[in-house]
Formats: sequence, C-alpha cells, structure tokens
Amino acid sequence: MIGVRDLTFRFAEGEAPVLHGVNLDIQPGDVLLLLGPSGSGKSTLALCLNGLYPEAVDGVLAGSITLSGRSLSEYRLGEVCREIGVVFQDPESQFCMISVEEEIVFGLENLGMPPEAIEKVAGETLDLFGLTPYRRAPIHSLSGGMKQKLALACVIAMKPRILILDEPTASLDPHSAREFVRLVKRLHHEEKLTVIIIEHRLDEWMDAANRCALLDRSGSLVFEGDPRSAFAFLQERPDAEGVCLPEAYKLGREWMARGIYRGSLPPITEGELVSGVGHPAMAEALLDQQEADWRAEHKRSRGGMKPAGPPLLAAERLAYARGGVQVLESVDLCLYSGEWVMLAGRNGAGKTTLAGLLANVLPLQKGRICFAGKELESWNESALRRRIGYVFQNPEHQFVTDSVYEEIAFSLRLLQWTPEQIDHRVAELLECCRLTGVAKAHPFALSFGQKRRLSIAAMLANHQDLLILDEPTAGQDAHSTEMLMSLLQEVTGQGGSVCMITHDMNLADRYADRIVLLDEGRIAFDGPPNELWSRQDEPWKAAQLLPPFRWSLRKQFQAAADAGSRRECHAAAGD
Amino acid sequence: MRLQEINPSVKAGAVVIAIILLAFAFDPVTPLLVLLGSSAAACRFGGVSVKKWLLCLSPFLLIAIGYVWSAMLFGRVPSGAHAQILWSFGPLQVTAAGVSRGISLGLRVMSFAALSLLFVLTTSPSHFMFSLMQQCRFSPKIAYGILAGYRFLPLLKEELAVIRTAHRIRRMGVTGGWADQVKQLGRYAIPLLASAIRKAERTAMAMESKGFTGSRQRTFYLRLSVTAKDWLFLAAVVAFVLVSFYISGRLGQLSWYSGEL
Repeated sequence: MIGVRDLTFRFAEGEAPVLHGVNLDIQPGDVLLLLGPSGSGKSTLALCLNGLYPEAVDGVLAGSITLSGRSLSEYRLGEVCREIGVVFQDPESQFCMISVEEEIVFGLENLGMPPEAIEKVAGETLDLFGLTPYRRAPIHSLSGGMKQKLALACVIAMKPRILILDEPTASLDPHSAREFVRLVKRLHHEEKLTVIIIEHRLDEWMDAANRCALLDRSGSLVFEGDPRSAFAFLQERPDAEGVCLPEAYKLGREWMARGIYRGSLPPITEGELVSGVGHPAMAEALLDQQEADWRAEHKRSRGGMKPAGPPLLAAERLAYARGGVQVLESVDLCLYSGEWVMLAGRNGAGKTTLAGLLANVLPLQKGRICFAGKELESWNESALRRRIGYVFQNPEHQFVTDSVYEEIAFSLRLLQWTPEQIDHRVAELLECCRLTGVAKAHPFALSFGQKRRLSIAAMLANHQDLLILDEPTAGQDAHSTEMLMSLLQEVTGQGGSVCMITHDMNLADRYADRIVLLDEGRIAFDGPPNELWSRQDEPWKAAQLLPPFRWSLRKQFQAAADAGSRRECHAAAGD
Repeated sequence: MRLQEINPSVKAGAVVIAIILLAFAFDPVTPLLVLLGSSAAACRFGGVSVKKWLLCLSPFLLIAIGYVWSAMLFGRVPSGAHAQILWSFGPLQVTAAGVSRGISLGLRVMSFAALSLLFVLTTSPSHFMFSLMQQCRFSPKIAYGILAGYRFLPLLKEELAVIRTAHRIRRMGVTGGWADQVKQLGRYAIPLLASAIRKAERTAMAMESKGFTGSRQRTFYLRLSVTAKDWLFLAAVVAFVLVSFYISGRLGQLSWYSGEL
C-alpha cells in the first residue's frame, strides 16, 4: 500500500539528515507501531508519508515514496488526504473552525463534496462518534479527550484508507486515552483501516499491533518486523533506544528466565502473560515481593528515615471557584517533610488548581494554608519562594535567562551566593541532571527532555523544602522519566518533600508514599498506594483511574488461584 | 427580522457606509441619534441583552469622556468668535464652544463604537468569513487563516498569565527597577512567540493534512446569499443616518465637519 525506498530527509540542504535511508513497506490492514527515542524522526517520517513534507518546510527529500503504486510526487496538492488521515498530539492546535460541525464539514469541503453529500456524511460521522449532542458546541468548550475524538472524527469523515496517529493520547488522562484507543481499534476492524501509530505508551495497542518499525537516534530504520521480535531486538540494545517496552513484555521476560512463565515466546499483552503463568499463587507472591523491594529501596534512599513530625504544609477546607464553576470544594491536605505525594485524578478534577493554591501561585479564596507553622499569606514572597519550588507543565514558561548555566545560577545569584559557591552548586546540578554538555546552550534550544530536567534543576538549586511539579513526566520517553524519578528520589532522600501531579499510576504506585486522589473538586482518597487499590469501595473506579499494571495482574492471578482451588475442591468432592 | 439573519458582508458594508456618512457631520445631535438608534436595534432585533450591550459599550465611554475632557480644555478656540467663557483657572479656559465640540467628539466615538458592536455582537466570525469568501471573492487561504488565528486569542491570553506567574516565582519576589521590568517584557515575548509559532505551524499542518490547499476550488456546505431582505437592511441603515441628519438640521444643530480638529 505504501512503499518507502531509500528515504533520506533533511530540513535544509547541507544539514544532517533527520531520516537516513529508510526502507519500509506497509500492507493493507497493517497496524504498525513506529518506535524510536525522542528526536529520532518518527513524526517526520509520518509527515513525509502523507506528503506534507518536504513542501511544508522546504526540506530536501531523497528516495521515493509510493502510495497505491503511484509515486507521492505525482499526487496533486490536497489529494493524498483522500487516502491518508492524520491525528496529531496537541488537542489545542489541530482545529481551525469554531464549532464541532464546522470542523467536520471543513475537511469535506476541501474534498469538493457537494453540500447534500456533506450533510449526510457529517451527520453519520457525528453519530458514529457520539458527537451529535455537541454538533453546535464550540470546540474550546470540549475536554481534551473529546477534542481528540473530534480530531479523529474529522479525519474519518473523509474516508481515508490509512490512518496515522502521532501520539494522539499523550495529553489525555488514562481513561480518555483508553477510550480513544478502543475507538481506533474498532475502526480498524469495521472499516479495515490501515493504522500507523507513534506512541510512547504501547500497552493499550499491543493486542492490535501486528508490526513494528524501529528508528534509532540517527533516523535510520534499525528493525522492522513483528512486535515480539522488535522488543527482543530492543532488549539486546544497551541503550534500549529510550522506548518504553510494554509492561507485560518486561515482566514476562523476567519470569521466563525464572521459569514461572511457561510460554515459549515472551508475552506482549497482559492476557498472554496471565494465561502463560503456571502457578498463579507463586506469581502473586513474586509481585508482592517486587513491591516490598520497591518500598525497601525507597526507605534506603532516605537513610531509613520516615516522614514524620509536624506537617510541613497543612491545608484546611480549601475551596476555589473559577468563572462560576466550583473547581475545589472543602479540601483538607497535609504534606510532611521527606514525603513523596502524588496527586491523581482525571482531566479537570482540579489537580493543577490545588497545586497552584499550595504553592501560593493562585490567590487563596476560601480556607487556610499553613506552611512551616505560619499562614501562607503572611509569608513574605521572597522568603516563601526560597522554600517552595513550583515546576510548571510547560518548562519553557519559566526560563528567564539565555543559557543553561545562568538558568540554574539565577536564583543563587538572587540569594547572593559567592561566585565559588554558585559555580560548585551549578556544576553539581548539571552533572546530576546530565546537562553538563549543554551548559552554554540556550534553554530554548534543548530537547524536550532536557528542558524538563533544566526546569527542575533550576528549582532545586537552593535546596527547597517543598517541590511541587505539574505533570513532569508527560511526553517524556522511558529514559527521561527514569532520570527524573531518581532525581526526585534524591530530593526526598535529603529531607525535601515532593508533591507531583501525574496520570501514570505505575509511577505513582512505585514511588508515592501517599496518593491523593481528586474527583470533582473533592479528595476521594488520601493514603498509601496499596490501600487505594485494595479499598472495597474502589474510589479509583469512580475517579476513572486505571490501577497500575502490577495490581491488575495481581487481581487476575488471585481470581485464577481461586478458580483453581475451587476446581480442586470439586475434584476432591467428585472422588 | 433578526440581525443575525442578515448577510454578514452586507451588514459590514452597511456599518462602514454609516460610519463614513457620520464622519461628515460635526454636531452632537446626529451621532446621538445614531447611537440611540443602533442601541435600540441591537437590543430589539439583535437579541443582545441591555446589560451586555452597556457592558460592551462601557470601555468606549471611557475613551469618549477622555475626548470630551481634552477637547473642552485644550481645543482651539474658534478665531474671531467672541468665546463665551464658562470657567477658567489660570491658563485653562472652558468655553461653550469647547464643551459643545467635546461632546460632539465624544458622541462621535460612541456612535462609531455602537455601530461596530452592532455588527460584532450579531455576527458569527465563521459566517462572516464564509460570506467574505462567497460574496466578496475573499481568498480562502486568508479567511481560514483568520479563523484559525481567532481561536488562538484566548489561548495566548491564558499562556501569558501562566508565563507571568512562572517568572514571578523564578524571581523569588525580587523586582528590579523599571528598566529591568521593561527587559522582563522581552522575556515574556520569547516563550509566547515560540509557542505561538509552534501552534500556528501545527495548525497549518493539520489543515493541510485535511486537504486544505487554499484554492478557491472548494464547495461550501453553508451557502450564504444576498437577498432582498439584505438590501432592505442596507437601505434602512443609510436612511436612518440621513434622517438623523435631517432631524439635526431641523433642530438647527447640524454642522458639517470642516477641519475643526
């Protein structure tokens, strides 16, 4: 269907190529995962496939791409979109119209469809995606999940045969992300769509994907084949190419080595993993052991100290309203020194607002916050900022200087440290955030992962007591996420406390001392991770959270073990 | 008849013609009549609530008062005429002619604002662009570009607020002198521009990937046309302005603009 031959692409003549001699064939009905570390040219390849590149950026393309047997360069402008549709990552910037219906109609008008046909197709599409009630709604009033659904609807209305998804779920909460993935899988089955997926989190896609293509940092295609072999190949690479392997595969490999998983090939989906384990009870014990190891490691990192003493920060009956909408209602929360708290909840649950209030970034409307025994409002701004750090969702927002070095030195200069002290501390932080090589670079010239680390390093500069972070791991690859987590572990190890917003329950489960679950402006749960998952009333379900992989596996093994013992009972009774 | 049903291009044309006509008059009565007329039309035929109308008009009121004030105090005194002095303080003199001129100016501002608001509050931006493309042969490339940009305005505003807070936190409550604060503004511009450019690029990609080429060869689901009703509206607006001239003339107030400013 699509044939790529010796594709080399550079953004300008004489620049290093972003894609390097790529050869790839895509068959009708394929679900292809396009994998690679950040900056490996995955998105570039996708945009070359649908003909936007090289024209859109005046790039230089060598080699050939054929679509349905015709070279892409023979297609007229705007013709390729009849064959290939794309859904992009950012829900805010892929629309150009005001209302839902206008946006769907826009694509059909571009195709030159007569108005009567547009009416029919638009109506059908709205129905198919459950968007009919929102037909006249302004797009900006939709949630992130709905916007991505609309983006997909707009593309599907044009009846393409190939769908390219460029990290469509990166900014969605896990529940909306899962819904989106299910919708795509349904379309793949019903409409026989060919799908090309670029994504960091692979777990949800594994039961549909039949092929994987792997790009390395230089933009060369290093592997192409079925997903299982691709992961095996990846595991052989020392740097693992920054790709986040599916949880089921990682654990399955480990258990294969230990002889617990009996399949001849490592599993790639949760279902395969569960059915391949011979002794559910043993697997369950192993999972518990792994968890105990995490907790022990956590404790070790703090030298055995437990978060204790009077609360560092205590919030009482916080309420906050914005534009007539009650965002927070009667929230009570305490944070202790040396503690790591994860703030969870679906999009729009009030997480960012709560974090903003705790950091005194938003004005307090109702309630009371005490920090280190003193009311937040009575703190003098500069004294408070020395003790509470806040890392924004977008790292670029908080850069105030022209070089990485200066960025970290900035607050130290404000605190009038001596040049030697500054030099020493900056070198230390650069080292620990692996930014030493780019100390002279402009902050805006860094990669996304580096920017994120720099924004945290700048906040860590003067050993703050409390660090509040708004989704620091969003859009980071596996490698960067791991680095971030060990950085934060060091912070808590030195007695600082961390309060972090996250959608990633695997991270929360592994690192949090406490998970605070927000739902519709109220605290639905506040306690250690294990308690959250094992609570009878399942507060995480109401808040549309997905439990971590470890927990959902454990549940399945328990069920299997119960069924097994029941069978044995039956057998015994039968004898 | 609702103002929302009038063809947006014709509506825009009517407003422009009315404003041009008004520019010839320089007396308080004509613009006052137009101001009252367009307010009544907006509330009666445009479905705009009186509260919203007054709220939207209020910033212009401030500008108008500013005009009245400065024209009153600093306006050129008509040469030859023995100016009737109402009040004086040192070198400042308030003359009757100055007051009347100030009020004319203020009302002029208000009437222009009311006419423009009449259009803005009763027209959907996307319909206006559709109409420009269909009736005025406006290029789709520009029209859809404007619509995409229009979506960004609130986003940019939000982003600026976040950047300001972020910088406040980074500076740890230390505020420099005014020179430093001017430099700060430059600092806000970099992330704001970077993200605006990135967003614009992404939107352009998304539009192109949906087959948008900017050519005029496209169909329109929503066909807007110009009917007798629209011409009637245009005629009514022009007639209203002319009647205002007439009434003002009958009251002996009408004076044509002749370089008073």
